[in-house]
Amino acid sequence: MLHNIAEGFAALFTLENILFLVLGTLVGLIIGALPGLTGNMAIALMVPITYTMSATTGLTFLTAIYCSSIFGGSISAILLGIPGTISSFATTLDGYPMAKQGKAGMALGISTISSVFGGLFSAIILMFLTTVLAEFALKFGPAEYFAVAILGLSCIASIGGKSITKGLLSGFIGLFFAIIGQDPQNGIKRFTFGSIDLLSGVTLVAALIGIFGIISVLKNAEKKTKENGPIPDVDHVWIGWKMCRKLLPTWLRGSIIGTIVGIIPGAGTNVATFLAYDTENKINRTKPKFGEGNPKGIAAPEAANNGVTGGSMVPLLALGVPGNATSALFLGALLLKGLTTGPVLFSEHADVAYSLFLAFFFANVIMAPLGLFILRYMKKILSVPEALLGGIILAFCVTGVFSISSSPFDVLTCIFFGILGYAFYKFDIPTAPLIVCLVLGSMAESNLRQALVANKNSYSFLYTHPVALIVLIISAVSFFVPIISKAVKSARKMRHPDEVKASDLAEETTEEMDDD
Amino acid sequence: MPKKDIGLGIVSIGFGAWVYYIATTLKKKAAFWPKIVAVGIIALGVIILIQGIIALVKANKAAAAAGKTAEVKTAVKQETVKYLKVAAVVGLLVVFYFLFQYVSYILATVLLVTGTSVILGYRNWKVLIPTAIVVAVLLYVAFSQVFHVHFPGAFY
Repeated sequence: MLHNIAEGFAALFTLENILFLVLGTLVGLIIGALPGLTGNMAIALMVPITYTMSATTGLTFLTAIYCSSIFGGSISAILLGIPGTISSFATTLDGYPMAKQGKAGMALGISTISSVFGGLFSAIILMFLTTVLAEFALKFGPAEYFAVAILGLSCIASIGGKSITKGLLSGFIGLFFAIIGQDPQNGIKRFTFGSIDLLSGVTLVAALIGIFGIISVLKNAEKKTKENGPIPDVDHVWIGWKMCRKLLPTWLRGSIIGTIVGIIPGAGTNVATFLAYDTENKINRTKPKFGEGNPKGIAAPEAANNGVTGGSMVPLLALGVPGNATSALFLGALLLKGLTTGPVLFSEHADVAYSLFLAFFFANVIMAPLGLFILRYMKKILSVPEALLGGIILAFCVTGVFSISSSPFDVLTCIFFGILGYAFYKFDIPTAPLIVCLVLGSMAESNLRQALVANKNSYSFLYTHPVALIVLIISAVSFFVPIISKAVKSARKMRHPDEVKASDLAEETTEEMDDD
Repeated sequence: MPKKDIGLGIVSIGFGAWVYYIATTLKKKAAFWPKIVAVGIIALGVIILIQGIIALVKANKAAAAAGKTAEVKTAVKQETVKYLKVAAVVGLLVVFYFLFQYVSYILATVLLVTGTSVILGYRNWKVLIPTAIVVAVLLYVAFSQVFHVHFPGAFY
């Protein structure tokens, strides 16, 4: 392992990679801070740019954007009371009151250091847990991989938002788009309608850019333009060692919660932030109260949301299963480079895998000085009108998509998925299940068919392979628990309509802000 | 909301049936997975349709009990304006799709940036026009010179 870490260091520490690490951090901070623009959108827009870069440089750039955009969301949450990303919703509860009390600098300082702490913690866990899991996954055959794909698909019940039925419908539509192209075993054309462009299936990156990029502009088109309120001045962002010592237990708890929730496919950043916030609220009896500007009310969710970043990459890198939309975007970037995730990545491209782990670590390290520095200029950045940004985002989307393979058809695919995403939004259908199923559909089908061939068309492999059986049982639990839990919650709500829990808040924010 | 769900249920059933029909024209092994997906879509469509009908019946009963009538003309007008804006942005994207292929990437991008910003409500022309030109030229230079992308238009 030490040898691999050394290889990762050698691959990561080039001038080009360091420059893209800094640039990615700045891009993520700015886009994350702007309300209405999400980290996923930033990653989707930048994936085509990474096409001409080396795998390490491209992934380093995207990692820096991912980590810093999650933190960036807290800036507008604190200064404007509007969370830049869904993961910063809980930060608004204490961050904005602190800013109104004239402590905007301190609130932003706490948010910066908490995010860095959570990010570093999860980067360490990512490295050690992923390598252990990937080594175990080396023994997997088609039956086990089919079970793993089903595990990934089972998370659509938990990322389905308000209505599980609509979440499942979104997932099945994603599976349909995954079918388009040639049959994985016999090369039979399916749903191509004579088009050569559809033979290789739907271009994943084009679909993702449509869903994350174009949809954000279409949503803005139907909103009434409104001016942001006055932005408070930011000074004295360094919080001091005494405050750091005071917040250390909160950071630890938040980071652990964030990392664990991140590893669970489909659990989502907002669940982690509200869980961390609620835990601190229950533990602490100090003043000021939570919701009135308590520093721990910022530290807990911020450590948790950056804790999710590393955790969410564990299933993708170790097993090849994206558990959320962000990891699906990373998978898209890896596929563009001709790399596959799972144990193969570690056996064939260990330098890329370990440089990615290290990129997660150093992206968070660099975020501290850059974050504290850029906070002074946030007032100007936040005053850029959303309407002006809309056109620029669209131009970036379509140009980026075209640049991947110089195919005008990909531009059309991107526009189509933008419109489809908007239709989903209007019908309250979540888009995250569509993305996860679009990615996992072919993996599930090809492994099922390979397993059937190996077992002489018998489904006995489902119970004769112990690992596959265990994973399928976990999938069933992961699928049915959210359904049962929702049923219990609605029954409880009917009995006690005034009782509000953290998980309810997390669910409500997901519904309000859609997929982040 | 219930009406939307009823519509969604019907569309899903229709879509699922279409997927199933196309799957029946494929060879047996290649059709297996698409058929599962089609059946899933149809089943979910039926559930959404039933849920929508139940919700509509409940809403109608509640409205009748409260003695309310549907006064939604203003809301409908506002919704139409919203959709027109969205349709205009989509229209600009389609115009871009043809313009950048057959005429000029820079011209298409300037039109896209300017048009979208105006639709979204930005009216400061002194900032908008130079921004659109700078963005279009920068993207053209970056993608054609740095990333070696060949744009197919007759002009730049």
